[in-house]
Amino acid sequence: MTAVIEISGLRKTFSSVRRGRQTALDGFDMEVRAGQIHGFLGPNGSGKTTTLRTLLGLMRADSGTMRILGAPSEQYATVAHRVGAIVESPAFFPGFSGRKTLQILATAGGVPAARVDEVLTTVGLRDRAEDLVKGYSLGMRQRLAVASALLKQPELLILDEPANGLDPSGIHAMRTLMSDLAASGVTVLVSSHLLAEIEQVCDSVTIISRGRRITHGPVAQVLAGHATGEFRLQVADSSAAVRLLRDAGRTARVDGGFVVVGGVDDPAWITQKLGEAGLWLSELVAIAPDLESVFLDLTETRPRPGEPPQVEDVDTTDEPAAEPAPPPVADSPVIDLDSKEPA
Amino acid sequence: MNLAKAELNRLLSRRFAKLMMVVLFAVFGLTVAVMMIESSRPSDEAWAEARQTATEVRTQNVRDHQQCVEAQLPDSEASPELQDKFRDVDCGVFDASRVKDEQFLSGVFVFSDEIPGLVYMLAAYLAFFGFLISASFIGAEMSSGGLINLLLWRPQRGTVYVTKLGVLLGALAVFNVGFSALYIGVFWILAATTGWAGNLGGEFWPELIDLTLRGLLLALITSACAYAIATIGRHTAAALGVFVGYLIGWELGARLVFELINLDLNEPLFLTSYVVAWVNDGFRYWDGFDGDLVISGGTGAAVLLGLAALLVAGGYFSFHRRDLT
Repeated sequence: MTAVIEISGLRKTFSSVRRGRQTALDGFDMEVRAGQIHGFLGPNGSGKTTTLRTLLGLMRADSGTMRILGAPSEQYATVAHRVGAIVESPAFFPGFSGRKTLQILATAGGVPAARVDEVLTTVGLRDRAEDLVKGYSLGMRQRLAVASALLKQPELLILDEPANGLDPSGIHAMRTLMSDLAASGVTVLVSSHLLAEIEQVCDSVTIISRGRRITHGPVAQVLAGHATGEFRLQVADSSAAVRLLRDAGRTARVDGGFVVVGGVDDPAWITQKLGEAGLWLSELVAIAPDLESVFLDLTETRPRPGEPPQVEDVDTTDEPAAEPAPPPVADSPVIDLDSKEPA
Repeated sequence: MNLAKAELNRLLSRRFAKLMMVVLFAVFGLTVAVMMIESSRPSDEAWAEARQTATEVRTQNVRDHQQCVEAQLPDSEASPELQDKFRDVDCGVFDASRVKDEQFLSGVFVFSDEIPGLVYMLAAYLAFFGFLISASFIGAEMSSGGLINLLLWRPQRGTVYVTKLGVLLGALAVFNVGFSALYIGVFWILAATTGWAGNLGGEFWPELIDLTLRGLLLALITSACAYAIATIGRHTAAALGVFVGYLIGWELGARLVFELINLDLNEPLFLTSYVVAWVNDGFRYWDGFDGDLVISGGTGAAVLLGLAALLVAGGYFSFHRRDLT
């Protein structure tokens, strides 16, 4: 698959009288392959929006190279008609209706007027199209922003927080829309804090922190790289099971109504060990990390008890951390037993 | 072309633009009402009284002209009082042929006399109207973030800046011409029905059209400057702030300071001198040493156009280079 977005060594620094120089991007790299839904994740202030704005020509990078749909970023204008984008909180004239807003953009971009009704229907604003934008809720403005991005029937869709303000129905519709677009060949780059959504819909992810890439790759690969190797099991006598497993030299603890055991290579050993003692499993699952826990660990933003998490203040004195090598994809066996028969 | 159409649509759809038009027409209406409130067609008695007064003034002018010429002769035999009275006076101001009967019609709106002053007011109205429209056309979009949406579609910033300015000035020019024609036409009709049209022959109409066009160009220059300043300041209020700051801080404040420290005012230091020079095709002032000096209309135009060009260029480079956050 060809790359539709290639970013290499991107650096961007902001200067202000009050805060001096602040580095937003510190040698950031990212690659997005055609036809994928690529998640772009990072804590607040990590440089996501700066990256997107620089990519779309709204900001100038200090150094680095960017290519979008094969064209250098300096020639973005040549491919702009093939790119649809929402960048952060979209702003519209409050005195225009939703339809008027899209009509003006369509005229400016040479898009047929009929396309306006199509995208309004797609995003669910058809019946509110004549209302003024100032009367729109946050979710409706977000839908209008998505509509504006879709007007061009783009090959590349860049969405910055597309689910912001959407109700569950809207979030589901957004997820379905992205999947449908990817199925039709559109490449989607989506930045979102709804990690469960990202995990569900994205093919690959890039995680940024303090202006640098922390990890990237297929979602399954990123998750597998942070597998704990622990298993969660359900058994009638949790305490007895913990004692037995510890006596056998494994780590074990009770967690809620389950037993968590580590240091086991083959889950069949658990089944056999407990079965020999007359303890029968009703559930045995390998604990796979979710994207949220991986994200929090990699970006070092997991809240500590008693310490409210603070938005990142990028430090320019740190040397870039070496990005961990992508681990091999490991199978995560799932065994769900509802039988007391020995394995 | 698509971008120009889109920007024209955007300009004409803006509620602020529509509101300003309503305000402009309201001010126009108020001006008409104030001018016409006590105007009436001149009666025979009013004409008789005006003619008598005009005759007296012409007679006085002839006498004053003669005295003035005699007092300024090298070996004048005029009294010292007369010599002091007419020292450095242009005797041409006592021209009896300039005295018109209609100048002494009381309670009558005389079109030929009043319209030049009204056209000055028209120029001021259109300049302020254009200033506000222009500043908000770009400023509101920049401050609200709406410009980012446009640039995602048309990332060529130079093209966007120039197209917006072109559409703005073109639309204002068309509107200003139409409004000016309406403005002058309404007063002419009102004078013809409830006042007196006056002497409209000779150079009257060419001079009036010339004055009107100078005012229209001034309004467009003001609009371009407002657009550029709002672009640089990224907000409508930037243009307003610069305008008010310049007016109060320099035009009024500096004049006051000059007066307080007994320093002769140097008119070329003030932008209003060039505005007056352009609109009146010349501005005569006294520098305190060599006597009367003149800022020509051409100089006024050059300074104003140069200022507009400088600001527009500054806005262009600011818009082109700036990070949009």
